[in-house]
Amino acid sequence: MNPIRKQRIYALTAIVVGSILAVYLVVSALSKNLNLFYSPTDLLNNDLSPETLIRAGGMVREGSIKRSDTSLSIEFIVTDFKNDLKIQYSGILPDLFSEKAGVVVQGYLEKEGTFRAIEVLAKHDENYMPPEVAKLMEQTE
Amino acid sequence: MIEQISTIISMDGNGLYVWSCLFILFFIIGINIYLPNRKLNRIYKENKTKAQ
Amino acid sequence: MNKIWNYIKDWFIEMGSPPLFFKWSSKILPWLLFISITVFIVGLLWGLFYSPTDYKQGDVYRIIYIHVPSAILGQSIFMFMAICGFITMVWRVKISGMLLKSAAPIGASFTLIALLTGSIWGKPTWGTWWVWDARLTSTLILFFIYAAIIGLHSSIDDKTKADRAISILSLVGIAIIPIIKKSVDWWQTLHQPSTFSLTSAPSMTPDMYQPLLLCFLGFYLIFALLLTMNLRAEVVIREKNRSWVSKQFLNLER
Repeated sequence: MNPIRKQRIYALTAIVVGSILAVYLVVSALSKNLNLFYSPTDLLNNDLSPETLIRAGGMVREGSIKRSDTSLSIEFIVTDFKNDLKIQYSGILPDLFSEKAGVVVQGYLEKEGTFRAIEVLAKHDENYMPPEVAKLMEQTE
Repeated sequence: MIEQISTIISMDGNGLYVWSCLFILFFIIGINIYLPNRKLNRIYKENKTKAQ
Repeated sequence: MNKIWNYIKDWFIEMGSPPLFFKWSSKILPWLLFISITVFIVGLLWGLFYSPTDYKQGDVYRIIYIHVPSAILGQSIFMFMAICGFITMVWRVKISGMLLKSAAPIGASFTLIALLTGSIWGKPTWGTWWVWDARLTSTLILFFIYAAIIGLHSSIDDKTKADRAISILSLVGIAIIPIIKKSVDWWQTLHQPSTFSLTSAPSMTPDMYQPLLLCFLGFYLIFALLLTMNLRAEVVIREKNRSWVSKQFLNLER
C-alpha cells in the first residue's frame, strides 16, 4: 500500500481510538452521577440533607401498596431486594404503576427514613407478550 | 363495520399516541423525499433555460 | 487476492463516478421506490394492526414498531457515515464524501423520529415526556452531532474541504455509539434495556417480533431509497457545470 495512505490510516485510527478513550474517561469519571436514581441501598448510608431533591428507584414490593380511601394519598415500599425504602406520595400515578414493577420516584428523603415523593414514574421492562401468553405464564408459575 | 373502524382508530384509548407517532414518521420521511427532488428539479429547469 | 481486491476497488470507483452513478441509479430508483415502500407499509400495517396487544401496556406498545427501527437506524447511519469518512480521508474517493454528506440529514431525521416517538411513548407508560437519563441524553447528543455535521458542511464553501471536515467529525463522533448502546446496562435509567440482542433470544413472542423484523428491513430499505435520492441531487449539484449533467437531464422526461 502507498505509504501516504498507510500514514493516513494510522492517523485516523489514532483519532478514533483517542476520541473513544477520551469519552470513556469522561464517562467513567462521571459514572456515579450519570445514574438517574439512587437505589434504597445507596440511600442507606448517605449524608443528603432533607432539602435536596433526589430520585430513588427500584421494585414496588408485593403487597406493600396502601391506598387512602378518602384522598389520592398512597404509601408503598420500594426495594432493591437488599434494602427497602418507604415512599409517601399524593397525586396521579402512571398507568403502569403496579406491584412487582419498576418505579422511579422524585422527592425528598426525610430524617426518619421515609421518602416524600412529588413525582412517581413507572419503569417498564423489556418483555412484551400478548395477554393470553401472560396468563399462561402466571398459571404455570 | 363502523364500530370495527372506530376500535382500530381509538386503539383502547391509546390511539392518539400511536397515530401521532405514525404522523411524525410519515411527515419527516416525506420531507426527506421532497427536498432532494426539489433540488433536482431546480437544476433541471436551470439547464433547460440554458439549453434554449 | 490482491488482484481480486484491486478489481473490486476499480469496480466501485467506476460505479461511483458521478455520470455513471447517475445513470445506473436512474434505472434502479423506480424498483427501489416500489420495493422499499411496499416492505415499509406492510411491516407497519402488520405491526400496528395485526400483531397482538401487550399484556401490560395494551395497544400503546405498538409505537415500538416505529420507535425501535428509527433509533437503530439513527445509530447505524452514523456508523455508515464514519466508514464513509474513513474512506474519504484515506483514499480520497469523491463519491464517499458525497455519500457521507447525503446520509447526514437522513440520520438526523431518524434520530429525531426516535426522540419524538420515544417521548410520545413515555407519556402514557412512564408518566413523563422526558427525563435526563443516560439513554435519552446520549441519543439527544447524537442528534446534536448530526446537526453539527450538517452545519459544518454547509459553512465551508469548498466542497472537498467540507467533505474532509465532516469525515473527521464523524470519526470523532463515533465514540457516542457505544455509549448509547451500553447506557441502559451501565447506569440506572428510566429507559428499559434492549428487547433484542445478538447473543440471546428476544424477550418477545414470535408474533410480536416477526413484524418488528420486517419493520427493520423496511426502514433500512427506506434509508437506501432516501440515500439514493439525496446522493443523486448532491452529485448533480456539484457537477452542474459539467457537460454530462446537461446531457443527462435533457434526455430525461420529467
